[in-house]
Amino acid sequence: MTEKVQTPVLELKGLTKIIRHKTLVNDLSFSLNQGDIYGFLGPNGSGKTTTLRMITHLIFPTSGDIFIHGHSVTRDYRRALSVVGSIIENPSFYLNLTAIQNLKLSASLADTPVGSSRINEVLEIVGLADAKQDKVKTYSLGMKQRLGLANALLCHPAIIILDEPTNGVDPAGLREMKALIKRLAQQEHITFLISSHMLREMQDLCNKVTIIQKGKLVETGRVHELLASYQVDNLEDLFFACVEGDQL
Amino acid sequence: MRRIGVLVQFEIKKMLFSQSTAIYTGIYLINFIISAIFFNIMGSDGTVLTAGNAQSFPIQHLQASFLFTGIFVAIYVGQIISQERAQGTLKLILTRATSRLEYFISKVVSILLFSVFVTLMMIALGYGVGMLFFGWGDTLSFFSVTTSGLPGVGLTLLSGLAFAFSYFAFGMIAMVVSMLSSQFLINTTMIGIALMMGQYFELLPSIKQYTIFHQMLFFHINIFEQPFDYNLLSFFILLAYCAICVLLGYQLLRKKDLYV
Repeated sequence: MTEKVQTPVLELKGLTKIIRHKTLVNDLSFSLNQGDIYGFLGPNGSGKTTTLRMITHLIFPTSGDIFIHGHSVTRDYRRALSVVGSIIENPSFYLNLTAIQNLKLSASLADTPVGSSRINEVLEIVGLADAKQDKVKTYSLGMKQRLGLANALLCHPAIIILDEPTNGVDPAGLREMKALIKRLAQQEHITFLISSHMLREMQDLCNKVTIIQKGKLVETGRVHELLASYQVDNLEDLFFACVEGDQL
Repeated sequence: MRRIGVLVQFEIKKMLFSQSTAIYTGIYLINFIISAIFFNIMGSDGTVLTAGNAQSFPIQHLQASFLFTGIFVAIYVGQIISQERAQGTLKLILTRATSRLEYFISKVVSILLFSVFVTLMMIALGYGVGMLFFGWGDTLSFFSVTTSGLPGVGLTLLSGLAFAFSYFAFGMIAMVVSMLSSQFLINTTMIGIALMMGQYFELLPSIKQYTIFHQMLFFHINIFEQPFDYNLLSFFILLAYCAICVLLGYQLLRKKDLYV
């Protein structure tokens, strides 16, 4: 019996970013498979957000490339990004517009425009259906995060990139968000790449992690395998074992 | 093209229903009413008006709105370029695989439409205030031009288009400034100071025609007062400002790392 070789949903190959002689991301390579929930961990200033910005084509790599479903972000970003949903750093919306108006704008810019029914569906999924006609300026940070997730889900993405998605989310909201991410990964086979400092939450949520420090890959693999290999009980201990001397 | 259309439509809606537009309308209205009252009290010595009637009112006020309109254009450009970056809404657009060229073109078109919109708004308000204070009147009187009725309206619109074109060119300069720095307040203040200082180029006859400030002040008048060659040169000067700023602006955006 031959094993089916899975094409990675996201693949980073030798990704490097140098700004003013400072190396922010250094020859970073890893890949993500369909339906996995990846924790992207690293101390402050380790290059996580810089990497996520390069994946979403907001900043350009100095060298290396990113492939999404085999399409190069540097050479064919349109096709590459057409299957990506993201919240980078914080969810940003036009504050004077309602949630639905923001999502309509976002939907109309998609490769294949998305209809109102899908907009209502994603608002329902993230629990904002009742607040969809409210202006975003009235939203709490937690609601904006959920709206960010709705926007990320809008175009049936293959991969969702979330940068600190739990910022400002209350415990109940956090539990709902974790359940939602797990459900989407399992049922719709969406891959998640999540950067977060909340290691306990990440241990609950992720089946794989990638740890970087000073822009370099330190460790990557299945959570349970890494815990066994480092002989530690939890992700927090694993993290500090990997990035010894650095702070979260 | 579809994305450019979506983004331009979005900017038009924002522009029409924004608080800023209501404030600009109020400022022009108050300015025009004060001008009409002063004309009634002091005659042409007290205002920019040389004739007290509705058909002359808007065209005679275009030049007087130099500072207001320049600052409004700079604020608008700052809002759609710097603030979009500072508030991070830029990534809502660019992470949807909108190309930077599409985004850039939509901004240029929006600035053009804003310049035309502000000018038409001024003209409409001018007719309204003129009718309210003076009635339509017999003739349109504007520098050496005297006409009346529909030809006068056409002439006002033509002058308005020339006015809007020079402010669009100015908007392109403001766009480049906004792309260099996301400090909205600093950019707008710098542009405001430049507008005030720029008027002093009028003291340098050999170069004044080449300055944007001269064109903003006089292009809409000179099209009636100066020979064709002079106006053609002015037109190409404005076109050159636009072309240089569009090329420079796009080069700045094309390879810029956006930390939004």
